[in-house]
Parts: sequence; C-alpha cells; structure tokens
Amino acid sequence: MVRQVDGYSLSDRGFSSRFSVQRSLAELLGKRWMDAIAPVILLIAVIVYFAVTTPSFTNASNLVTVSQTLAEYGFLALAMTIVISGGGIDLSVGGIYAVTNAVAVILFKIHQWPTLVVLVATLVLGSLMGLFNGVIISVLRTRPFITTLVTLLLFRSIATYLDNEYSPTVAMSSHTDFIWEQMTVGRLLFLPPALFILLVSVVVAQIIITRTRFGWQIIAMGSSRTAARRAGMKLSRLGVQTYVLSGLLSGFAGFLVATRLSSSSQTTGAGYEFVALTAVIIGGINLYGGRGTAIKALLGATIVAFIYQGLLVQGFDANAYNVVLAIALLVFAAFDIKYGKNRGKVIQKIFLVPSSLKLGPLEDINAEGSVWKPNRKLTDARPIGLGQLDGPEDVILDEQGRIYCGDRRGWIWRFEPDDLDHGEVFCRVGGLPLGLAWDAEKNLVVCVGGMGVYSIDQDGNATAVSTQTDRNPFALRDTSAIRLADDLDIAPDGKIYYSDASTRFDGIEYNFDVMEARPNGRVMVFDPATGKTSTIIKNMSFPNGVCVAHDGQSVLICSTILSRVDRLWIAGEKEGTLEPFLENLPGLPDNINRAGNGEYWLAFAGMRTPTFDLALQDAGFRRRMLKEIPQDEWLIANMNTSCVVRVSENGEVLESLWDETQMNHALITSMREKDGYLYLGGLVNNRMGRYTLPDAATRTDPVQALAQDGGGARNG
Amino acid sequence: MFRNQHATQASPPKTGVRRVLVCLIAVATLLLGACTSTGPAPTSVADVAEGGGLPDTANPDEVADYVHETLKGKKVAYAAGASGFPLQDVWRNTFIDSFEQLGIEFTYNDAQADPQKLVQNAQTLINDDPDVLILHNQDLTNAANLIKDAQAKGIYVIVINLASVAQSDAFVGGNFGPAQTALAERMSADCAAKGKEDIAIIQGWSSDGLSVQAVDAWKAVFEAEGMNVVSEQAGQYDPTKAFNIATTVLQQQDNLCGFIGAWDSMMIGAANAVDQAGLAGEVGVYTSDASIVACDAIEAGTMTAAVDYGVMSYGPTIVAMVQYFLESGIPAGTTKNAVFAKYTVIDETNLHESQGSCYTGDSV
Repeated sequence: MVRQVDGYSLSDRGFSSRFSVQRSLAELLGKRWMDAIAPVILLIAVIVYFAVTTPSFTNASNLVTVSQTLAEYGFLALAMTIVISGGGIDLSVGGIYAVTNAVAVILFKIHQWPTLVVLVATLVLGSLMGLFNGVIISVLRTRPFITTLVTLLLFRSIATYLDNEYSPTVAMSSHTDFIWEQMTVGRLLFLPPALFILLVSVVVAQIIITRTRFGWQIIAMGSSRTAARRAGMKLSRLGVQTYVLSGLLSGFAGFLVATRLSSSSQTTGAGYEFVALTAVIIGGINLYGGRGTAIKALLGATIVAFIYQGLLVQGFDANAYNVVLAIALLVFAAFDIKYGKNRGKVIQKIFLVPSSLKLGPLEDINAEGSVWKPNRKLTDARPIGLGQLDGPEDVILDEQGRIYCGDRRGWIWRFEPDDLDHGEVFCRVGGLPLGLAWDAEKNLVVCVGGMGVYSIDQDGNATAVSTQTDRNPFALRDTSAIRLADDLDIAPDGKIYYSDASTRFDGIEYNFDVMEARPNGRVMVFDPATGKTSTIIKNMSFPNGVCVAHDGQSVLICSTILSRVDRLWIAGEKEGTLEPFLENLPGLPDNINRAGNGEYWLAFAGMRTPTFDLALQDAGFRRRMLKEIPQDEWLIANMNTSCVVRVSENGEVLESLWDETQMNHALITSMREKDGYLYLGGLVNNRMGRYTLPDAATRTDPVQALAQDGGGARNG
Repeated sequence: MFRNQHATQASPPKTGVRRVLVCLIAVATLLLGACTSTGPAPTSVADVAEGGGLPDTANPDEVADYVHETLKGKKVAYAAGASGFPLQDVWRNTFIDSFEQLGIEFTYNDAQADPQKLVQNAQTLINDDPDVLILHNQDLTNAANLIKDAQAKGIYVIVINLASVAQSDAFVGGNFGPAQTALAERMSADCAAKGKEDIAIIQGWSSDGLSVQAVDAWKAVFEAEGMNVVSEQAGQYDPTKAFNIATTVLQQQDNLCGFIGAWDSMMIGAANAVDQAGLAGEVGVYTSDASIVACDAIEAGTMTAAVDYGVMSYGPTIVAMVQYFLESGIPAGTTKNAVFAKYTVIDETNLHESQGSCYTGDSV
C-alpha cells in the first residue's frame, strides 16, 4: 500500500479553494446518468405532490394497484426503448400487447394449457410479430414509423377479431391454475410478482444495453447508421433483432395483463403506444436513437403510472390524464432537444474554472551577475535530425550511444551515433510520446500523453505498462485513466515514478490547465511486482519532470505551474514525505534529469513574467478572458525561452545555458548528458541538439538507468 | 397478511368481533362490580344497529335516528363505466342526490368505456376502503378477482347492469333473457311483414354480461323465426363505431331488414347511418334500452323499437340495496343476490306511456 502525499499545500491556496461549485456542476453535467436527472426530479415531484394533496395516494393498496399497471407499462417502455435506441420506433407495441393478451387468455381459459406453456407461446408469438415488423423494416427497408403504424392497425384488427370470436367463451370459463392465480393475487413483500419480474428484466436489459457488444451495437446503430455500417456491423440483422426483442417484451406485457384480468377486450392496449412513447421520452431517452437505457425506461414508466394513479385517486378522469401526459410529453420532448443540443456548450463554458494563485517575488534574471542571465551557449549546439523530427519532448541515449526521442506524431526515433542527420522510426507507439527512461532489461519506457506508460523492447515492440489506476470512489469525475503521462523515472527497485500532469485536460490542452492553475495533476507509482498503479502525490499542480536522485533515495518532481521542484523521499527515514528542492524559480520547470558530477539538469518550458504572474493572481481576470476572447488571443504563460540550468544536489543553481537568439533551439523541454555532450530536446522543435560541455574532460557520466537487474517494468 | 389487516379494519364484518369485545368488557365490568348492566343484551336502538336491523318495536323518531346513525359517514364508491350518456348519468345523479340526503359519503370515477381501466379505477376506489362499491361492470370476467377481493376486505359490492361471473352481494340489472327475446320477436315480426330476413347484430363488448345474454336470446329467436344473421360485430358501446359498422353493413347487404343492438346511445350511430343512407323506415333499427335518445329517434322515425329493461329503476333500487346492506350488518359476501327490473318494448305507439322510458341524465 502506497502512502499518499497531498500536494495541495505546495501553493498557499486556502482550504476552500479545494472545492468549486462550478467545476462540480460541469463534472456533473458531463455524467451520462445526468440525462436522467430531470425525470428523477419529476418523479419525486409527482410522488410528493400526490402524497401531500391526497393522503390515500400513498396507502399500500394503491402501491399494489400502481405496480400492476407499472409492470405492463414498464415492459412496453422497455420494448420501445430498445427499438428507439437502435434508431427505429415501434408503434405496434400496443397491438402486440393486445394480440398476445387475447391469445394467452384463449389458450389458458379455453384450451386450458398450463400457465408456463401459455407464457412460452405468448413470448414466441410476440417475437414473431416483432420479427414481422423487423423483416419489413430492415430487409425491405421501409420507414419504421409508417410500417409499425400499419402493423399496429393490423395487430389491432387481429385482436378485435379474436375478442369478437372468443371472448364470450373465455368469459364463461372459470379455469385457473396455481401459477396463473399467483400472478394475480400472489404477493411478494406486499407487491405483485409482476413488478419483481419487471425489475429483474430492467437490470438484465440495462446490462445488455450498457455492457454487451450487442447493446453497444444497438446504440452505435442508433447514433449513426453510416458509422455503424462502416465499422462492419450487420445492420439488417441488428435491426431485426431489436424489433424481435420489442415484440418479445410487449408479448410479456400481454401475458401479464392476461393473468391479471383473465379476459380480452377490444380496448386492451389501445393508446398504449402513446403511453410507452411518453414514458420513454419523459425517461430521457433520445427519440432519434443512440441514447437510451433500461433504467430510464423504468423511470419514465413509473412517472406515467404514478401520474395516472394520482389523478385517479384525486377523482380526475382519463381525459385529464391524457392532457397531463400530453403536456409532460411536450415539455420533455422540448427539454430533451434543448438539453442534448446545449449540454456540451454549457459544459464547455463552465468546465474551465480559473483559480487564484500567488507566486513568490520574481527574480530579475537579466540582473548583472545573475546566474540566470540569458546567453548564447546553446545557439550553436549541433542539430540532430533537423527537419525529420517534430517535437522531440525528451531525449535519451543507450549504452551504444544511440539517441532516442519522441515525436508529436506518435513515433519514437532512433539515431545512430555516427549519423546524426538521419534517424529511423524505432517504434510507432501512438499518442503524444513524452518522457523516456530505461528499465533494468533495457526496455525503453515511455510516457505517452493520452495513453499512459508504455514499454518498448529492443525490437521496437510496444506494450502497455500502466494505463489506469483505481477509481476514487468519492470523486465525481472518473480519474482512473491516465490522461497526461508526462515524465517518468525508474527507481533502483524497478518502481516507475511518473507524473500525470492533469486529470482534467489532454496533452494538446495543457494551456487550459495552466489557465486554471489548479492542482489537477498527480504523481503515480507503478509497482512491477504487483502490476498496480497508485497515486503517490495527489493534488499536485501540473507535475512535469520526474527524476530519481543519484542515490536512489528520493525522486525530484517539477511543478510547472508552481515554478518549483520538490523532493519526494522514497526510501530512508523520511520516506513518504515531501520537501522543497527548488522554490520560487523564475521559470516554468519542465524535465529534470541526472547530470554528471552528481548534479542535475533542469529545462524550462518558459520563463515567468510579471504580467502572467499578475494574471495568475486574478482568477476573475482570467475567467473573463477565457470567456470573452478567442483562444489565440489569450494572455498565456511565456514559452520558447530555451533555458537549461545545472543544479547541485542541495538545490543550488550553478549555471544556466540559453539559446538567447531562439533561432535554433527555441524551446528546450529536456536534456541528457552523456560522454561530455548535453543532448537537447524540445516539445515543438524540429530538431534535437548536441551541446559540447566545455568541462567534459572533468565530468563523470550520470547513470542513465538506475533500475537494477530484476526490476524490469515487464516483470509485473 | 396484507389482506387480513384490511379485513379487520373494515367496519361491517367487525360487528361480530366487536360484539365479542363488548361482551368481554361487559363481563369484566360485571366481575368488578362496577356496572349495573345485566349483560350484553341490546338496550337501545343504536345497540341494535350494530347487531343488524331495528328492534321489534320502535317509534318513527327512533327509526329515523337509527337510519341516520347507521348510515352517517358511511362511504359508497361508484366505479362508472363511462359518462356523458343518459344511462350512466341518470344513475350517477340518483346516487349523488340520494346518498347526500342519507348522509352517506359518495365518490366515483369514470373509466371512459375502457373495461381495462375500469378494473384499475375500481381497485383504486377499493384502496380507499369504502363500505360499498357500486361497479358498472363491463366484462364478465375481468373484474372477478376484484369483486372477490373487495368482499374479502368487507366491502359490499353491487354490480350494476352488466353482470360478472364472480357473484357480488347484489346484481341489479335487467331481466335480459325475456326482455331481449321480446325485442327480437318484435323485430322478427316486422321483418316477416316486410318479407325480409337478413339481420345485423351490433353487440356492446363481446364479453359483457348484457351482450352475451342478448346475443344468445336474439339468435335463438331469429333461428326459430327463420331469420338470417348476416353480421355480428362489437360496437363497444360507442355510437361512432356503431355508425361505421352500420355504414359498412348497409353497403354490403342489399336486402337487410334491420339492425339490432345492445344500447340506444350506441345504436343511435346505426340509426344515423341508416338515415344517411336514405333507408330510414326501410331498414329497421332495434335497440336495447330506451332513454330519451331512443325516444327521439323513434319519434323521428330513424329507430323502430326499443326495449326498456328498467334502467331508470336501477338507481333507486341500488340506493335501497345500499341502505339494506348497511343497516342489516350482514357481513359482505355472505349473501349473493340478483335483482331484475321490469321490461317493456316500446315503439312510436306507446313510447310515452311506459313509465321509465325516455329518461334523461337528469331524470331523478
């Protein structure tokens, strides 16, 4: 178990800014289940209203009465949901319900079949009627609306015929059996069994819709037929299946009403397509397909059933019910469209929540005698892979002196030491390759922004090492995925320490995270022994460079936004504590790596400016700016200053290296020292660089890979 | 479990239990020597009420007290099959006026001609624990469980007009067999006189008590009289449906003698269809029930004859039955009775002579 350190206190923010109502709202709106919030509120409102105005509404007998109708409504709503989610519509549910009811009653009352056999026959019949719909619609390519409207009339005619022909005989039969009887008068926890059958069916349907290939395919088909077809789905078959399921479920509803009333009538199921449709829409299921769950169908059906029962108890007649239902349908259909259209916009508008951040006094780097004073030491560093590379964020060398770097196109390059102008693509890992490190088995372990941590063997084959962690059960947002793995290093015991710079924004959106200036990032540790990834520092503001100290006892971690580097002890008596290494830096630290002579190299993505420091203090200013002007006109943090500093083990800045001209190495985000050279990488550069260290002769090389044998990332 | 709780809550079947309790308390107080009563024997009119019925002798004031005391605060609920027609309206209005005078709480709802909804509506009324449920039943079987359920809860059930296979405390309806036979015989005679034999039947629901009985009776007569039933369809007690059925039948049958149907407010649709086809008088329309709808149509010549099976008398009869049950204290479901009303076939010659014919919704 990894002890978690809270990085929140690294800035001087108050406790209350840990929370943001706006951010929570944005996160809440981003939840899929939030689609159901309106129906849930309506359901509660309906129940409370009737319970308060009509006390008898809440008595137990009414609950039984309402759950009997609910069971039938529920199955029809489920049937409708499945078809609508797949982009169709089934208006014939009421017709199927009526026919299966009549047939079930005839088979049971007149032919005296056992209840279970009647049930099977009813389900088969319902499915066949659904198949009839499905074949016409999916195979003959007719419009679902018109087709099912026609089959509704057809099925209703059949039901009327059956009623005329058989119901006088049915009415005279007193045949019953145990199961049939129990379906009507049996009680489970005071409630009719039909309700429990519905609840079980809803759970099963929910799992099918949200957790199975079949369900996903239905949703995919409903979202976009073209895309689903191009993804290789067999739409005709899938479409037929939805109608068959709809028929099956409607058939079950028909069976339920058959057992409840033991009779058929010509009005059975009349208008139930309207009831099912209303339930589905009130439940928040998108009428145009691609969005629907069983729970929402149940919710909608419950509301519809409660409204009917409530009005009935209050003494209103069915006309009032139809009016109320029609109004609810209208309001919710409008709401559904508005909500679906605007939800994304609202989230986009409120998702970014800048916070106030006050950094320490800014040191004047141009002051005479300052160790920070910009210079041109790096201007003439020899370019590597000029023109071939696009954004080598990090650079690393192996024992043979071959140079590796990432590329914004998702590639890892390799350059032979004797040909610095032509490299080869070593691996196409995808994503945004950032920090690099070697494990004990000479695998190249890479942080891939948007994907996680991957390991690339010597033949260039990539495998995922760490892509997710446990979900925080208390957080609204699911942060179990690693969103922006930025830099890593591997400790002697093989554990991989890496930064997940932001749990809210992706790599290309890093500016948003800077604009928020909130502790959105975290530092993770992957333990190859258990294969588990845990958070070791939470609430860290944009953790970036990660470097295990020379002695392997601690890890240095840069916070770009807070302009500081901290040391996390991973061994020894201070294990699990955080202490400052470099504070109040004049720039935004990016990667940090071991240097020769027991020192460290630290690269800066940009330097602090008085204006942006001020902007960071004023959250309101940034909020207005984000809202009112386009992104390319934002006042953002300074970048492209190409500053690298050498730091001693006790945090003293010894030297700074610059390409003051910013012509050759405009932005330096990382660097590695080997054999008297300093290799430079930059997130947006079109080259790497090789700088010859003037004191090369007196420098001892840093250890590139601290991980001992047996501590390989793949061992987990 | 659930049901038992309700059974003990309902008032009428409690009388036995209460009597035992009264007995026990009385005996206990006797033993304690604190009571001068000689036992649980009734000493006043109110005590008798609990036991059921008046004492052997009582003066008119005592009788009035007894009736008012017994009925006061009792609840009667009426599950109407539909509304807006003279038939249902006359019953409902009778109930409203009569029960109010008797101090009985009266509630009702309306299923709008949907047998399935009627069951839920009636169930909802039962959930509120009334003392009596009046059910305008629509189907021979679908309310059967409901009727048994209500009786088990101690609620008297009175089924009105359309019977159920489950027997209620009282069925108040028509003497349908003979009444419908009389109507069919009248029609057969007319047809024979016209030299026609094709007859179209428009029943209500296929499975309501009246339709089932009526169709049986009609067919028996027509068979015996050599008539030919060319069409038999359900008009669902809906004039529009009857109109559509009649229009279609008229197009198909050239030599139709007439329509016979289950209810005047539905058959007015058929009468209009005949009238619109220009066949009034030529094609007869015969109907069961004789409200103002039938009378007007007979006077206008679009309907031929109607059987008044006593609808007007149902309301008062039911009010009487309710009082009888509540005053008697007989536990619900102990006796199952059926009460039939007088019938008369009316046509243009006698329509104003028959008492109870040509009623309107307000004929109270």
